[in-house]
Amino acid sequence: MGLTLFTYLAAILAAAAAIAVKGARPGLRAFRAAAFFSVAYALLLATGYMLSIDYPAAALVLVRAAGVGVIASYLAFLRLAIGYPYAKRLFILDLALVAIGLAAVWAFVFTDAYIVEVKRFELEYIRFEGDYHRPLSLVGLAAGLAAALTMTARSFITKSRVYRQHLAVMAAGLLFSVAWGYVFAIVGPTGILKAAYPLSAVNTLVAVLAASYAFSSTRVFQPRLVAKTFGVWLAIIVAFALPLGAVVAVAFLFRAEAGATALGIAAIAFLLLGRGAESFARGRMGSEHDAASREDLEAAIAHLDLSAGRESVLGELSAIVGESFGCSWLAVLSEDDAGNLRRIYPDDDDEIVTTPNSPALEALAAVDRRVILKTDVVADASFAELKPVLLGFFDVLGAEAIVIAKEGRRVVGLFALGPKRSGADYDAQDYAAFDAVHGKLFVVAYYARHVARESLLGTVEKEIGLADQIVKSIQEKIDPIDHPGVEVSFVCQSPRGLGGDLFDSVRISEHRWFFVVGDISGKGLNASMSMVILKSMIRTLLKEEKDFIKLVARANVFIKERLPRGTFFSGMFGFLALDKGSIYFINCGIPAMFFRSPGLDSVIETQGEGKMLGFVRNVEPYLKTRKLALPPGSRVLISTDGIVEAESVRGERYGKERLVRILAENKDASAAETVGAVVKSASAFAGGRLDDDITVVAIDYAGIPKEKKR
Amino acid sequence: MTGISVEAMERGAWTVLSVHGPINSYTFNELQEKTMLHAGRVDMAVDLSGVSSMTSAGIGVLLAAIEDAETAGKRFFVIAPSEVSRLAIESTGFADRFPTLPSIKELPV
Repeated sequence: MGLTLFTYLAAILAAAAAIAVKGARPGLRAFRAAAFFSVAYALLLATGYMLSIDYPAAALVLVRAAGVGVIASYLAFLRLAIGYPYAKRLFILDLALVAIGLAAVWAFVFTDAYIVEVKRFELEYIRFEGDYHRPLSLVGLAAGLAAALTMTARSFITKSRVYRQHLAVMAAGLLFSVAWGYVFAIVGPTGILKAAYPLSAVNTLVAVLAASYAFSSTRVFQPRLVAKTFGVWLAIIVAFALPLGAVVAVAFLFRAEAGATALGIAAIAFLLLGRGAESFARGRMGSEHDAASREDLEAAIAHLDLSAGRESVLGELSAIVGESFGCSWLAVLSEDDAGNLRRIYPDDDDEIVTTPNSPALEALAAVDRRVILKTDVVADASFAELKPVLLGFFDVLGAEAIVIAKEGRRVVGLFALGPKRSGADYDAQDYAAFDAVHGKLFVVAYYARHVARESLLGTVEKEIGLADQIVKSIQEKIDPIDHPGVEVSFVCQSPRGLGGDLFDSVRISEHRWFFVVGDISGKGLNASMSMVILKSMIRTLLKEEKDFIKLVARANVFIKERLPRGTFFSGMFGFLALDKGSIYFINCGIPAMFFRSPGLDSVIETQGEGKMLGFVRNVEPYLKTRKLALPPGSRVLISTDGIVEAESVRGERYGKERLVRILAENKDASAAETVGAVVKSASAFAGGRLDDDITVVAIDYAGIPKEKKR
Repeated sequence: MTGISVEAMERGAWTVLSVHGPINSYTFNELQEKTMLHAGRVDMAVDLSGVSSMTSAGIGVLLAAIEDAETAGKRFFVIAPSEVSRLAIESTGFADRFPTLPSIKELPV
């Protein structure tokens, strides 16, 4: 078996790589045909070799058929080389290629022109070649070479850089395949490489892998990075893989005498050298450096001085982005009140780029990505339907990459990056960096959306004034819980005018609302910006995620990974089901949630244990959905820690007991009056000065609406 | 309003910040500035035995310092948290995210 195993393995891997390429895109049929014939070639050749000892007649048929397989594979690659990346119908070419293929079947399989007989004695493989073996082999070789050269030539003249890269990679894979085939399959059996003949069809893997790369990659890569990665792999082979092979080989030379010891030595060598190779590769493949660069970029954007005014902020952002990505310019588009996307930077001419319901805006809303490179649109099949509209949008802007800030499906802002000064395309590394800083860019987009132009601001007090606009506009944007069966009242305020406390409600159906109450850690401007982003993100998640626990878990991931380090959320997420008279909620560290039932005339603490968000990446195992049944006339009061932890001048905490007392004293008051009483009481307790942001929510349930009962 | 004091001292390989007073939205800046100076650069511990109250502002500073240390492969400990700071840490539901030692003498070498 020996070396033949490698050929079978190569065939399996090549088949898997071909199957992994999904979708409908130009050239895919030719690629699949090429992959199919390549795999068939490898399997037929390897099986023919295996059978050539005991079943030489069957082996002969298989080896002849393998010859057809390789020619058919190269013809399919030639078709791919001529057509890729376009979907043009080339009927005459297809007909000619099929005719050549059929002629090859006749010549190779049904005549003695190619091979007359095969025999094998142990490793001694003898191939009795026909009169036309060499010309026929050279025809196959010429087909492969023609395909590779066509790809090479087209890699220089094709307009799109990403397609040029695809063609170059495919050409390299195919050239390697042809050279390997020539050496091992044509020259090998008659020369010194006779024993290595079973490896002759391993070349299948390289050609198919290269082509499958072309069908899955949508971004250009940097030659420097490729060279570096190649160098690292080479170093690993020389410094770790070869010594490991030597150790294992020496150990197995003595296996007959001490099999277990040999196996043990091999295992230890594998572990030691494997770990060595792993630690050598870590940090040398560019990942750590990339992560550090991204963190620097994140930090630079996060430290933008938002109090400096919109023009100044966007100007500084443009400088940061220009330096990090080498882009020639940055344009910022922002949604206006009418739903248009307007260019607000660099020209600030308020030019409308897209209008509501325009195909471009619809396409941007429909795309489920927040970063789009032009090369993605060109080469990624998932953009096929939106391709013309998106490419048109890129052309209008003259951009090569865009970063989109969305709230749900609505595009609230967009950053467009012009071509790189170096002339290179944006690559996979740039994409990862854009993706990493998206949260920070989102803040700037929101800032640009909600803060008016500096020239219009006049004498507004800078930091407080600007950020207050944002906070107020976001806080006011809720779906009020307006329903005959319930009265909901809330107060959300901060001692500095800016804060991270949050109350939001979203109408799900006639009788159901989603709501969230809580506190984002941090103070002042930073906290309020985090709150703004989180609120927007929760609304986006609500549209995408139907599972309550998963929704909260995804919000947790967003806080942990996208908001500034050290940010966490304490609060609760709830579904108010008025038709069922219930609240379903997940406690994420809300300190106080009290329930007062008219039947019991007592106050019960109901929040239970909770885990705050932002502490661990996967919070799902810790989350529990609880249900609170609401009898008619009941009240729920929810408060963040700003009330419970309010301190008197003597350092005494307000605590839950006082909250319960206020709730009992106000049992006949309205929800709004009760909320007011809580805030007044806590404020008076703290000597008129609350240290922390506070949010208090009261929900009075009157009963299931009559029309629902019917 | 009572103020906060944050004193930094070297103890072997460790930089220890000793905090006294309340950590809230008015006082956390001083703690934040000093933790940002050291977190992720050196092995750091924060002695919370003198903390008289701690709001979410303080938890946020500690969490950021822990994450900085984890990213940089540095060590971080909370030392002898006072009752109120222990309760504040436990209220997060993730007390195990705050590696804690009972005394400064327990700091590993």
